Amino acid sequence: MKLVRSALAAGVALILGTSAAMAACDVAFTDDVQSVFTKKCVACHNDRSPGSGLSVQKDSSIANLVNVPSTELATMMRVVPGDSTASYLVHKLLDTHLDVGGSGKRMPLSGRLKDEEVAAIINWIDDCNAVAE
Amino acid sequence: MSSTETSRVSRRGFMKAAGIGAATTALGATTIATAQAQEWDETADVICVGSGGSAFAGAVGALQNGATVIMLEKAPFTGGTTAKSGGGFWIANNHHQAAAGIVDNRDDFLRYCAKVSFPELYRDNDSKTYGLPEASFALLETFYDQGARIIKTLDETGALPSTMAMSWDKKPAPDYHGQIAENKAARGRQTSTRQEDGTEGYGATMIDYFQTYVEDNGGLIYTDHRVTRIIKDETGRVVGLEAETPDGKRTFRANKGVIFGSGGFTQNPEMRTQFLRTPVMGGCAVPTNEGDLILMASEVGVKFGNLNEAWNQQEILEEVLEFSSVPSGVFFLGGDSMIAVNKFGHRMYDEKYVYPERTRSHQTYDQWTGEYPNLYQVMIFDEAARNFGGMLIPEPGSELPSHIITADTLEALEAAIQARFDSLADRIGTYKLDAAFLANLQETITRYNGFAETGKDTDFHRGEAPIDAFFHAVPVDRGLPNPYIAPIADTGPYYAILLAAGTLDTKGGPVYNENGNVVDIHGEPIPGFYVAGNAGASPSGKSYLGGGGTLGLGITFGYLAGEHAAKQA
Repeated sequence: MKLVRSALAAGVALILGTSAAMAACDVAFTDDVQSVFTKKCVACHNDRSPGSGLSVQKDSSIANLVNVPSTELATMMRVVPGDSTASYLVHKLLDTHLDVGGSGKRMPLSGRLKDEEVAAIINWIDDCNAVAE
Repeated sequence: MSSTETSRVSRRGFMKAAGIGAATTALGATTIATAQAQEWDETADVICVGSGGSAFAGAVGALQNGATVIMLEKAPFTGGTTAKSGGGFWIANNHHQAAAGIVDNRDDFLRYCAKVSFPELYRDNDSKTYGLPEASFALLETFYDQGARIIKTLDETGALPSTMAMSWDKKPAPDYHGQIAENKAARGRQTSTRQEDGTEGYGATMIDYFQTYVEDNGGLIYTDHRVTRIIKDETGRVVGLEAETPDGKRTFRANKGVIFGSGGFTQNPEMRTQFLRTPVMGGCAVPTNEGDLILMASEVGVKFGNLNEAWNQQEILEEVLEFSSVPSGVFFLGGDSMIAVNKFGHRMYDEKYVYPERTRSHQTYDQWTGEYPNLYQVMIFDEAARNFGGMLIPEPGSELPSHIITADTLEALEAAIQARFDSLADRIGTYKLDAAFLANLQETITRYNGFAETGKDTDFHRGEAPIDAFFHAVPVDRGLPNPYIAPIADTGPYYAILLAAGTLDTKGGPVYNENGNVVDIHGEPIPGFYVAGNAGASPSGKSYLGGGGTLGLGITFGYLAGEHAAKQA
């Protein structure tokens, strides 16, 4: 019984933690970031056709990214709040995904993000924690 | 995404994904007495439907000729299929060719287009139309005569800066069928969007430029606006559109014309079955390309054409079964020690040739068995091919994606391939490799390995067409006489990927004239009604003329439509 209670408590803490992180990332999420997704990613990653299980369409992107395991590398989250280096999304954009054990091709398949576009995404991820604090 | 995984989509997105709303939408046409007698929610000179390259070209063409523009996009985002494309646009005799000293002769161009677009009609001794119907030939003439002017204008005005597309070996890109005798210029027609740093951009770059230009010049762009009805007056002139929007139904008056650049019908399974010869399963087209225009235009009485053709492209079978709208199709088959075979274990084509032609092989029908023997195909490669790399080939040592089948022997590979087909039976039915598959495959490999020794593929000319090299860099020099034909190893591991037929999008719809003006069943232009790109009947008929053949035509006729509409009273 004690074990069940502990597990429940841990589960609640995880949910609350996840919710807090989601909320923090929601606050830190700027139009700049969604604009990058909308211009460069959403044609392949949208609600009706979420390539690799990922939609970054407006109103869907945060829920699909923050603390969600990558389908290519289940041990890594797509976005870890406050830690862009631990976020698989960033590795896919920087072409370092194979170095961390991932697979597939660099994203986007057609084209590359500009440096400032990648920076906007990295800043958003790293700022999630700052907002939470 | 595996079938057990879910995507967290918004409620509206879920509703759309589930098709809720689409089934109840009454697509068609409405006739009113006069535009003046109707109450409209908004008005512009030109209304463009869609927001891919063709629709944007229409908008820019209209804006640059003094018209006001509203664009209506069905999806919650702009860009259409263009946004996920490589973004090339194929234009003959363009200013980049001229700057590079490449002469692109009109007659040679027309001869090439006529030959590959309508091979069954082509007559080399008919100097007037090369055997094509006059209306079809006139569109190809217009493409040559106007395309270069239009992309030069777009470049100079900043609406779409461009540059010549270059191969990995620094040569101008060749046409897709450069080996055909009628092709004389063969290189430099493929252009790309020029990024700020001078490098070649992609489809998303094109949309970025176009959208910025349209908005900077007063154009309005509305997403989440699905056009459902064409509104015409009693004279037959198209005067407006009705759209479903987040705020309910809204009507838009078009003083001068409407231009549909709304894509094809790849994502409409019923239309795929009704219109296409190929058993196409889906493709790159964005999910909103469901052939809405075909239903609406039917009620207007337009002439339809080319509905049985598509910009063919192979797909990974399991991927296209998961999502009909795939992130990317199989543009080329990577690897050097690699072959593609059918259910009998036989090769079917030059594996390095362009995607549209490889895909045609899926259409082959066998009257004796009543089957398509090439319906599903198997790409097979060995470990060494992973060092060569290329599309679909996993990096050495990397994790294998789930669609790659692997085994240590050919015997085990055959069993694994069959097991994979069996696992998909609920979606593709029973699909059995022929009893002779393994024996034939071994023979095929022996014969193919002989080609590797001589460097000559006497069955399919692998590596000989100019486009073969364009799509395949040679990162590893094995000292072979033909770098694109390497022997398949005697020992495993071996790998296999299942391939199916798909499209970039379809290329049939309303027939149009030299102004992009849709014609009626008698061939007469319908005032106020224009179409461009994959929404209309492509002037390229059965062919894929070169890299960017889709957008080259779409931009040319989209711009011409905008220009012509803007000049109407």
